[in-house]
Amino acid sequence: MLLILGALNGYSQTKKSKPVFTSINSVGSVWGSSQNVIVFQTINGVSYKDWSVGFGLAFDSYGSQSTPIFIDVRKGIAKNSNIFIYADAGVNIPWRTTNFPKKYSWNNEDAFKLNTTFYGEAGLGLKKQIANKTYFVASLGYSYKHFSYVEQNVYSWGVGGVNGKTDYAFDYYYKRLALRLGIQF
Amino acid sequence: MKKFINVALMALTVAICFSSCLKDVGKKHYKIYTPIIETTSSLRAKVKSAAGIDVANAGKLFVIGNYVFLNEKEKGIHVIDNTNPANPINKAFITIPGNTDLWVSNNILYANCYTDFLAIDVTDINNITTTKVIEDIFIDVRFINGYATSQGSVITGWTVRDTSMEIEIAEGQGIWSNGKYITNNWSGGVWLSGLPTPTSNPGGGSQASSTGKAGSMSRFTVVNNHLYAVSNSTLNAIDISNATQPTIASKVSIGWNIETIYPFKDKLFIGSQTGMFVYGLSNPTQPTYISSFSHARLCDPVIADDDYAYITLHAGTFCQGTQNELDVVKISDLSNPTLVKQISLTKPQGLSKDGNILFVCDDNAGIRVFDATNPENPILLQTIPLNAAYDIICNNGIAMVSAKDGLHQYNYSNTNNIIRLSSFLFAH
Repeated sequence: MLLILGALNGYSQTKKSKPVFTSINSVGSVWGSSQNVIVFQTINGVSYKDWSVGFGLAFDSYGSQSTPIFIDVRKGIAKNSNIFIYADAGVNIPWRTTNFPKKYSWNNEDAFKLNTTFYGEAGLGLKKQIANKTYFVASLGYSYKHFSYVEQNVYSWGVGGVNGKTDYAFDYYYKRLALRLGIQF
Repeated sequence: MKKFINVALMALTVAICFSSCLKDVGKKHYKIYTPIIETTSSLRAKVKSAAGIDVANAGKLFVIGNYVFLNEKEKGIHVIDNTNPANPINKAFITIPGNTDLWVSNNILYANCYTDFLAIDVTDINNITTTKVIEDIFIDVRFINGYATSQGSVITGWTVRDTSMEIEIAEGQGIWSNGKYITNNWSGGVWLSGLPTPTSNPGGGSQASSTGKAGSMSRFTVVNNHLYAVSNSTLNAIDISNATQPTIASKVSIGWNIETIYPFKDKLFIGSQTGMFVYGLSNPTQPTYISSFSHARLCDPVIADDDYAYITLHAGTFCQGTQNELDVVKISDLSNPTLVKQISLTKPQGLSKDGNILFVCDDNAGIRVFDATNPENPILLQTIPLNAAYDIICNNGIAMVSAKDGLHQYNYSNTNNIIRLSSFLFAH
C-alpha cells in the first residue's frame, strides 16, 4: 500500500474549467472482522475543478451479496494535488440468493424478507494521470454496510405465538476497510 | 519526498485508527411469548348462547334439518337458520371457548371446549344447558409449543414481548460457514417439523348420519349410539345412548398427528398426516385396528363410499411435503388398501361426495367438481370459482361451502348448471 502511494507521488491534477463527465471504475478488497472479499464499483458523474460528484453502483459480497447504490462526492485537497478525500452515502440492496428464498419449498409460506438499508464509505485516495484524460485511482477508506432481513414463519418449541410460528429479525452491521484500485476517465 | 512521507503517514494513521472499528456486529430481534393459562372450569363457565354475531374465522360445518352449525374457530358455534338456502339467517351464537369440533344429535350439541367434551341441550337455542362434561378427554390441547399445563388448565393465549440480543459474526458461529451465510432456521432448538395443534387441523369427509351431517374436516362422528372423537393421538369412543349424559367408553391410542374421522359402514376411516387408518366397529365400544394406507407427510381429509376412499392431501402450515393432490384408494379389501389414482390439485382440503359427483375444496382455485362414475378415473367437470374454499357438505342437492369470506350455498341438482343460491358473507 505504501509502495503504491509512493509511486503515485509527484503528479499534478489537471485543472478543469467546466463540468465534464467522469467515470471511475474500480476493483478492490474489503477487510472486516468476519471476511475479506473482492468488490467491484462504478461511479459516474461530473467533475468540476477539484470536485466531483456521481452516482455509484457496487457489487459487494461481504456477508451476503448485495448492490450498494450511493452518491459519491470527491474533493481534491491542496492546490494541484493528486490527493483527494471522498465520501459515499446511499442504500444497500441485498440480493435474494438461495440462502434467502422468498418462500419455503416445503410449505410455500413466506420465508425471508430482505430489507434495503444504509451503505456508506469515506476515505482518501490518490490519482495519477496515465494518458490523456485518464487516471489511475487508488483509495483507502472505512466502509459501512448494513444488512438486514426477517426470517418469517419459523416454527419453534417454547416460543409460543400463533400456531408456534414466529419471526426473527436480524441486523448485521459490517465495518470494513476498503482498498480500491481503478481507472478514471 | 516530504509530500510522499506525509501522505504515507496519513494513510497509515487512518488504517490504524479505523482498524479498531472493524468489528462486525450482529443483532437478533425476536418476540418472547409467555402463555396465558386459565382453568378449564372457568372456561366452561363462559359457555352461553346469545344473539347471532358476525362470522370472522369460520371453521367446520355441521348440518341438521334446517340448521347449519358453523364453528367459529376456538370461540364457539354460529347457529344459522337455513330453511331457505337462498336466505340463511344468523340466529344465535353459542360461546364455547376453545371449540373446534361439534356434532348435533337429538337436540344435544356435542362440542369440545379445550380439553373437555361437553353435551349441551340446545332444544331452546336461546336457553341452552350444559348437561354433561367429560373432562380432560382431549389432553393434547395441554401440550403446546413445548409447554405442558397440568390437568384442569390450558393455554388460552400468549403475551408478547419484543427483545434483542447480540450475536457473534465469525467463521463457524451460527450463521457463517466458509464465508457464506447459512440459514438460522435449524439452530438453537428451532425446527420445522409439524407441531401438535389443538385446533384448526383440517380433516375428515362429509359424513351422513340419521341426525345430521358433518363436513369433511370433522374430528367427531356418530355411529349408532356412539360418538367417536379423535384428538391428535387418541380415538375416544363415547356412549351417547343417554344423549344428555354421555360416558366415555374407551380410549385407543392410534398414532400421532391424527386429523380426521369418517364413518364407513361398520368401519372408521381416520386421516392423519402420514396416512389413513381403518378401524373396525364390531365392538362399538372398542374400535380395533384393521389396516392403513400410508402417504407422504401431508395434511389430509378422507371420505369413503362402497369400494373407494377419497383423500385430499395438501402441503403447508404444519404439514411438510409439497404434494397437493386427490388420491383415490381402493378399499374393497380393507386389509390391503391400494392407491389407484392421483390427481394433482392446488391445495385441496374438504371434500364431499353425492352419488357419482365428487366435490373438492381446492383453496383459491375454487371448488372442483368431478364425475366419479368411474372412481378409478374421476373426470373434472368444472371448477366453481371461490377463494379459500375450506370445507363442504353436500345435502339433498345443496352444496354448503365454508370459505374464508363466507358460507356459500349452491344448487347442484343439475351438474351442468350449478347455481349459487346464497353467500353468507363474513365480517373481516
